Amino acid sequence: MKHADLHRLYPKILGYAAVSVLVTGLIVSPWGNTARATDDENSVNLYSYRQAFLIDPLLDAFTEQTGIKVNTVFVKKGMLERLKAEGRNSDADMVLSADIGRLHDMVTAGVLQGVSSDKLNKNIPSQFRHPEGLWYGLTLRARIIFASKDRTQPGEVLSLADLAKPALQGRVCTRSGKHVYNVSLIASVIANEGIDQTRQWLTGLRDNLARKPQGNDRAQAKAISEGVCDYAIANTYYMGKMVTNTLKPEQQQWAAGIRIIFPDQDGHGTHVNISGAAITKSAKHRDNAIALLEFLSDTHAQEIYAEQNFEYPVKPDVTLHPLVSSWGKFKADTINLDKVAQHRITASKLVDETAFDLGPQND
Amino acid sequence: MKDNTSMMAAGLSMQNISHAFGQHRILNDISIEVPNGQIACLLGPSGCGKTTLLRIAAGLEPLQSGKIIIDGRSMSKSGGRSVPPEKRNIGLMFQDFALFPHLNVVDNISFGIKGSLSERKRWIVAGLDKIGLAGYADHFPHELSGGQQQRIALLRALAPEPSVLLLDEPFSGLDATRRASVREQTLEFLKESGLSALMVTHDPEEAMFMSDNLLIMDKGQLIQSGPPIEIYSHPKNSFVATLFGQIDVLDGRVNNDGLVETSLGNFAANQIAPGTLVDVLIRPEGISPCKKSHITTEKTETVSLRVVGARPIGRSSHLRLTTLSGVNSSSIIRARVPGIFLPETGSLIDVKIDPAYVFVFAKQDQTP
Amino acid sequence: MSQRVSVLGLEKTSVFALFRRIDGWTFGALLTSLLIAVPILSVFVVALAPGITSSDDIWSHLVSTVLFHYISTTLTLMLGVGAGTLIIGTGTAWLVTMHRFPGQSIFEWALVLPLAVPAYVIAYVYTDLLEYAGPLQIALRGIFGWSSYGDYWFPEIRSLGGAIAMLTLVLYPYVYLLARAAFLEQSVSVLEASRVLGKTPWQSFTKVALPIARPAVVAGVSLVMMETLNDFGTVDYFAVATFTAGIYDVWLNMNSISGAAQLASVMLMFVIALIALERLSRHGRKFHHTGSKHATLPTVPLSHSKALLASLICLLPIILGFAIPAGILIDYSLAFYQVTLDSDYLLYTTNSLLLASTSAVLAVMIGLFLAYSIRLHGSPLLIGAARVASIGYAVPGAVLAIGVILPLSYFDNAVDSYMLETFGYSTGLILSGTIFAVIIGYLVRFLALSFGTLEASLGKVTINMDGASRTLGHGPASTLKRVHLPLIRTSILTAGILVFVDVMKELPMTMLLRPFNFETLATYVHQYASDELLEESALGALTIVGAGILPVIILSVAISRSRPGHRSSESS
Repeated sequence: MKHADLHRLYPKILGYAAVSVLVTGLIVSPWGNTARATDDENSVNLYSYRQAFLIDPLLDAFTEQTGIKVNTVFVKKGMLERLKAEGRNSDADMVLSADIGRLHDMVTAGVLQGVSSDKLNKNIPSQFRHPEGLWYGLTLRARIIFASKDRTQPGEVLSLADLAKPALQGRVCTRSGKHVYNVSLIASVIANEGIDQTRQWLTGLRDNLARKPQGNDRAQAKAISEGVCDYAIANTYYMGKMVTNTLKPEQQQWAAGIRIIFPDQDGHGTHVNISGAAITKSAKHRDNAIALLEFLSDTHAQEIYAEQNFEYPVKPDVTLHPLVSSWGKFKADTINLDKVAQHRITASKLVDETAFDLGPQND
Repeated sequence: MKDNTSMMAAGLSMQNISHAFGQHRILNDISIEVPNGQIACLLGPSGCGKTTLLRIAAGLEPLQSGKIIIDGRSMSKSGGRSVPPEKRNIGLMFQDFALFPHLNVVDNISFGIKGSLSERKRWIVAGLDKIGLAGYADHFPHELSGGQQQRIALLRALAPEPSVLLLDEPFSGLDATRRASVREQTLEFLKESGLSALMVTHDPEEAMFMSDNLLIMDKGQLIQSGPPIEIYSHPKNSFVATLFGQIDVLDGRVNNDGLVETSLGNFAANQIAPGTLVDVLIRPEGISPCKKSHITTEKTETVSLRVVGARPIGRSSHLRLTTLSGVNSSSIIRARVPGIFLPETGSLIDVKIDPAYVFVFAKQDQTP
Repeated sequence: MSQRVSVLGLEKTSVFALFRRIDGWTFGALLTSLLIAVPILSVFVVALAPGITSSDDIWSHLVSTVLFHYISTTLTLMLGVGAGTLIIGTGTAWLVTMHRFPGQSIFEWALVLPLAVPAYVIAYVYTDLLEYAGPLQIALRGIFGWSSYGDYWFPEIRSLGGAIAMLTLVLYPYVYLLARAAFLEQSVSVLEASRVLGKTPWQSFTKVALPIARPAVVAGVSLVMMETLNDFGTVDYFAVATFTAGIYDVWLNMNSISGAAQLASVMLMFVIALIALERLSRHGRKFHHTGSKHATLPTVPLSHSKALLASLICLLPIILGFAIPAGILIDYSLAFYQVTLDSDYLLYTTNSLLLASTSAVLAVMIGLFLAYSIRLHGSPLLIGAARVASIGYAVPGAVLAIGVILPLSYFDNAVDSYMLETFGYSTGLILSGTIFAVIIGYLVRFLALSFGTLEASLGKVTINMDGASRTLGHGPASTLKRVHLPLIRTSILTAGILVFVDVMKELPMTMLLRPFNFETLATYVHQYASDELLEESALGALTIVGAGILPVIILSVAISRSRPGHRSSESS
C-alpha cells in the first residue's frame, strides 16, 4: 500500500515545506536590511509619485557626487495619508511629485516644511516655487495640442477654446477628464476664465470628442495616427518619448504624423504643470534633503531631466534637448500654480457635472 | 432497596438533567443510572431527546443543569465548566459509525489508544479476528460494508478500555438480515467487557434484546424504566404500550363491575373508576385462534371474528379480522399467529384473547 | 468504594453560559478576528472624520451628478461578471467532472490557469489586440476593405462590456475550483437517484447537483463579486466609472479621504447585506456530506459531436483567459526582456515569492484557526467577528491600505511618545513601512479567501468525526491535527494557493505599505504598466503568471485526487 502511505505523509511534507520556505525566506531575504535601512545618517529618504525608472538616473548621479544614499519608495494613492499618519516619526525626508495638485494637497494637509536657499532661489523662477518654499518645481510640462499633419490646417486651432468649436465635432481625443493632468488643465482654465466659461468650454469639448475619454497621452497620438481623431490634448514629453522610441518603431510613426500646437499663444499662454519636490515636516535628514533638492535644480540634473524625459527644465539657462527645442519657443501661462491648484476640486466636479468622461452626447 | 452508594461506585449516573436549545426545552429533569456490567437502552420516538441525553453524557453537548458522574467521578468542574469529552473515559458509537475515512482499519481502531500501542496490538488482532475481519487491517472504511464498519466502530470505541460505552442507534444503518447477527455479536462483546453501556434506539425489538434496563422517553421526559419484560407486560400508559409495535385500540367505558365491555368481550379495568372512558389496547400476539371445543376449561371467553385478510410473514401469519357486527374499517383487529395459518377471506374463526396482552388505560379526554 | 462526589449545582443563566464558553479557542479567535478587523474598522472611522472638503458638499455633488451612474455601472459589472463566471465556472466544472471527452484530463487543471493572469494585464493585452489599430481590426479592414474609423461597427473593448469580459475571463476559476470540489464530493447515490427518477443529465445537474453545490458555488461567485467590486486597474484602463473609480476620484481629485471612506463604507454595507441575504435565503440549511458511500463518480462518455462541443467549451476560456494573454506577454518579453533583466529582476521575483508564500501560510493558519474555533464553539459573537475580519476582500486595496496604516502608525507613535517621555529614547516607527505592515495588509485583505475556503470545507466534515475523536481521548488540538487536517488538506492547499496567487498579483497595498527600496514583481510591472508601457515589463508580468501556474496545477491535481475513495477500491 505504498500509495496510501505516501498519502498519509502528504500533510507532513506540506507542513515541512511551508516551514522551510518561511525560515529560509527570512534568513536569505534582504528584508532584515530593508526594514530600517533608513536610519543611516548619510542618506535621504524619498517618497516618490514618479516611477523609479524615471528618477533613478538622477538619484544615482546625486549619490555619486555627494556620497549620500537615496532610499526611495514609489507610492501613488495614499502617500499623503501615509505621511499624515506617520506624523513626526515619518522616515520620509522628501516628496517627489509629477503634478502640482499633489504638492498642493500636501501643503493643505500641513505635512511639508518651508526651506529656502540661495541656490534654489537662483535656479528656480519664483512662479515655479511656493512663496514660502514649501515646494519647488523641478521640471515643466507644457500641456499642448497634438494635431494630425494630414487632416488639419495650421491656424484652425490656436487655443484650448478652439477645441470646443462646433466645426471640430467628432475630431478631438483626450484622456480621462479626471486624470491629474487634465484636472490641473481645467483648473487653470477656471483660474483664467471663471467657472461658467469653463463649464461651457468643457461641454463643447465633450461634444467634439471622437470617443469616450480613455488611455494616456500616448494613446491619443496613436488615435490620431489611426484616424480616430484629428486633435488631442497631451503633454509635450510624450512626443519626445515616441519620436525616440527605437524599440517600438510604430510610435515613431505616430509621432511623425503629428504637429504640435502650443495653445493660447495670443492669450494667457500655454498651461504648464510642474513636477516638483518638497521637504517633509518630519524630515530627519533635512540637510541632505536640501542638498538633493539643490542638486535636482542645478544644471547637471536639469540636463538629465531634459535628456531623459524631454521635459522643460525650470532653470532658465539650461539647454533644451535638441528635439524639444525643435518644437520652438512658447509663451507659458504665468498664473501662479498655487492659485491653479486651488481650483482642482471645482475642476473635478465640473468634469462630473458635464459628464465629460461619458464622451460626446450630441448623437 | 439497593444501596445507593455502591451503585454509584462505577458506571454512569445522570441526575436531574435538563436541557434546552434556546427557548426549546429538550430534556426535563431526567435521572438515570447505569451500573457496571449493565446495558441500559433509551427507547423513544425520534425527537424525544434521547440522543441529546447521550451527547450530554459524552460531553459533546454542554451540561446545562443536573449532574453527571462517570466511574465515580463528577463531570462538572468548578466555574461551571464540564470535563471535556476526551477526559471522560467513555466510548461513543455513532449512528453513521464516523470512521475516519483517511485512516485504515488498524489506525482507526488504535486512534484512541493511549501509551504503548504494542501492548494493545494483540487485543486489536484478536478483536478483528473475533468479529471476522482478520484480513481487513489495511482496508479503508469506504472499502467496507456497513456491517463491517459497524463492527470496526465498536472495536474502536472499546479499544481505549472506556468505563462507559455510549451507543447512538448503532444498528440503524444496517440492513435487516445483518442486524440480528451484528446485534448478537455486540451484546456478547459488551457483556464480556463488563462495562456499563447506554444505548439509544427507536427500535423496540432491539431495545428489548439488548437491555438489562429499559428507559422509555417521550418529549424530554422519562416515562417508565425497568427490566424490558416488565415494561413490555406492564406498560405504564398507552404511549409505552404503543411503542412496542402495532397495537389495536378499542373504545370502552368502565361498568359498575369494574369491567370494560367491548366487542371482543369484557376486560378487567384495573381499578379504574366506574364510568370512566377508557382505551383498551390489544397486542396482535395476544389474539390466538382456537377450536370451539377447547374453551370450556379456561376462563377466557372466545369470540367469533370474520377474516378480512391473511398474509404469511415468515415465522408467523398476519391476520386482519373484524367483528361480526363491525361494518367500518376502523373495527379491524389484527392478530399475529405463529406458524402458517391462513384462513380464507370471509370465513369465521374463533379466537381467544390473552388478558396479559390487553391493557386498559383511562382516556385523556373524558368527553364522550 | 468511592465517595459520592458532591458538586455544587450551579445555576446556569444564559449570561453565565456565555462566559463559560469563552475558552482559549474562542478567546484567541475573538482576539485574532478583532486584530484583523481593526484596519477595516479604521475605514469606518475615517469615514466619520471631518475632511478638508465637507462630506455634505461631496455627497450632494455626487448625488446630483455621477453617483447613480457609478451605482448602475457597478451593479451591471457585478451582475455581468457574476453571471459570466457562474456559467463558465460551473459549466466547465460539471463537464470535466462528470463526463469523458478528449482532453478532459488536461482541461481539469488547465481551466484554472487564467487565475494567474492579473486583470490589468489581460485588459492591456486585449486592448492591444482588439482596438482599432490592433491586428484583428487591421485584418478585418484588409478583408472587407473598410477604410476608416467609424466605417464599420466593432465592439469597443474599452467599455463596460469589455470590462465584464476581461474580469470574467480571469475570475471564473474561483467558481470553477469551488464548484468542481463540490461536485467531486457529492454522493453518487443522490445523482443516481435523480437519474432513476427520470431526470435527464441536464435536469440532474440543475435540480440536484447544483443545489447541493450551492454553498460552494455561492462562495465562489461572492469572491468573484468582491474582487470585481474592488477592481480598479481594469475599469480605470477601460474608462468605466464604477463605484471604486468614484472612491478614488473623491479621494484624490477632491482631496477627501473621509468622503472616499464614506463611499467605501456604503459599498461594504452593500456587500454585507448581500452576504446576509444569501445566508438568510439558505435558511441555515446545512449541506453535510450526504452519505458515506463515495463510489467512483460515474463519468458519462460523450458521443462524437457532443465530445467535440465539450472540448471546445472548455478550450475557449483557457485560450481567451490564458493562452492569448500569455502568448502576447511572451511576444512582448522577447522584444523587451532586456529592460527587465537590467533591473533587479531576480530580487523582485524573490521578494514576490517570499511575500506570497509567507502570507499564504499565515493566512491559512489564521483562517483555519478561526474556522475551527467557530466549529468548536460557534457563538454568534465569534461568527460575527470572523465575518467582519474577512470583509476586507471587498474593500478597494488602497483604501484598505490606509486602514492598515492608521492603526499601525498610531501604535508606533504611541510607543514612541511613551518611550520618549519615560526613557528619553525615541523608537520612531516600528511597524509602519515594514515588510510586517505589508504582510498584515495581505492578511487583512485575503483572509476571506482562506477563511471562506476552510470554513466551507470544515462544514462538510460531519460533526461526528469530532465527537468520535474527542470521545476517543483526543482534545480539540489533537483532533484538528489528526482528523481535520488530513480530511481537508485539499482545501488547505486551495486556500494557500488562492492567497499565494493573489498576493503575487496584489498591487495597491504593496505600493503603499512597503518599506523604502523594496520592489515586488507587481510593483515593478506597475511602474511601466501605469504609463501604458507594459511591454517593457512584460517579462515581469510573465513571471507573475508563471509563478501562479505551478501551484495552480498542483492544486488541481490535488483536488482530483482528493475524492474519498479515489484509490482503487476492491469490492467487499
